[in-house]
Amino acid sequence: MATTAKAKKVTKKVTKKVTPKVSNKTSTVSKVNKGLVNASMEAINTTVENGEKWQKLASKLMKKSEPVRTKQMNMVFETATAVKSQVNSGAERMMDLVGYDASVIDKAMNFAKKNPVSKKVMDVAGDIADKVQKNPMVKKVEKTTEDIKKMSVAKFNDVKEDVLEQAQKILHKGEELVEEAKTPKKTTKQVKAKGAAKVKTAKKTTAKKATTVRKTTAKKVAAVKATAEATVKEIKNEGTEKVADVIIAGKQKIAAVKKETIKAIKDTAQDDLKIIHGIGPKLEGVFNKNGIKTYADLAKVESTKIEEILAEAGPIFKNTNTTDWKKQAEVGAEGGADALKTWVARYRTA
Amino acid sequence: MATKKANKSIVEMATSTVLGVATKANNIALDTTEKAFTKSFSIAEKCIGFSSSIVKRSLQISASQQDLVFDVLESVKKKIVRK
Repeated sequence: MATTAKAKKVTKKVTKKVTPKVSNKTSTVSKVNKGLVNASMEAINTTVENGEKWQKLASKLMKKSEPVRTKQMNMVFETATAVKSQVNSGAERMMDLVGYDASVIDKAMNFAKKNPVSKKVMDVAGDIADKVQKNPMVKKVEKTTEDIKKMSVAKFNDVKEDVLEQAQKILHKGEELVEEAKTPKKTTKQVKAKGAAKVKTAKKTTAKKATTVRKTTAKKVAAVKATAEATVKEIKNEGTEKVADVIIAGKQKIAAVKKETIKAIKDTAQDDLKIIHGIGPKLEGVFNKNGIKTYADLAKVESTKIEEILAEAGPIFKNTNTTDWKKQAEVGAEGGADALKTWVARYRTA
Repeated sequence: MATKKANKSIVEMATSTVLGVATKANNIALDTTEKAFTKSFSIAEKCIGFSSSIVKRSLQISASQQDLVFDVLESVKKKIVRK
């Protein structure tokens, strides 16, 4: 019992000594902790305040930069509108100058290019063209065709000259016939002279006979006279009939010859319309089909008729510029192909 | 007691001085950025005005050039048509 009492006393003493010390320590720790919490809170608050300040500055700068951006946008749009108006005016003036709608052609080109079938066809055609161009046989054939073309052109010119000569001869003949037919008096005179000669001879014979057989053939002389007069009359009649026939036949022949020569000239005469600037082999074929084969034909045709022919030929030729064609055709008709070539070289290809 | 007071004051002092310096530095940075940006904006504005005037002049020149070219082409066309 005595030991427990002693132990109790000791524990009381220890607790009395320790408790104030421990209580002091905890209070200081709590105070330090409170100080740290306050410091961190202050730090957080200042950071938030600084962030707010930066945000305000950003918004302020954004507002300040607004006029600069508006100026930039205005500049871009003004430039774009100016360029657009310039392009439009250029396109309009180009339309006036050249006479075709470039946008329509661009659309058609784009359509044709974008079409897969046409792409393939173009590729295949390009390959074929390359192969064909590289082939030596094709080159030979091209050479020979060129030679044949030259020879045929030379032959055609020869034949043309011959035909023209023949036509001129026929015309001369016809004119001679007409002149002959126009002079019927000469023939009647000749017939009369013939008849007179015959009469004279008959008279002479009759006179001779009369002298020899006057007595016996007095009646016969009268008969001979009558027959002679009859023959003269017949010859006269025949002569007039023949003259009339000759006139009619001559007129008919002249008409026939004129028709034939005009036809022959029309059939054989054909100018190279390709020399005219703007006319290619296709257009030449189109004009030939419509009866326009020479420069003179083209010069005579009205411009509206030309436009109709081009419109019928297809939409490709619809907007073709035909302003100089008639002038060129006139030059070709007057001076021939060489004159036309010089004209084209001087005024169109320069 | 003296050590306790000193501890408290050191923490508070340190935080207050650090935060004060940080706010001062931040304010200085804010001022300089504002000044730099305002200056750059004014310079950009001047540049835009100058470049827009140059672009306008160049467009006027190109328009006049285009007109000149088309006038010449039209006169040539008229001559060709007459002949």
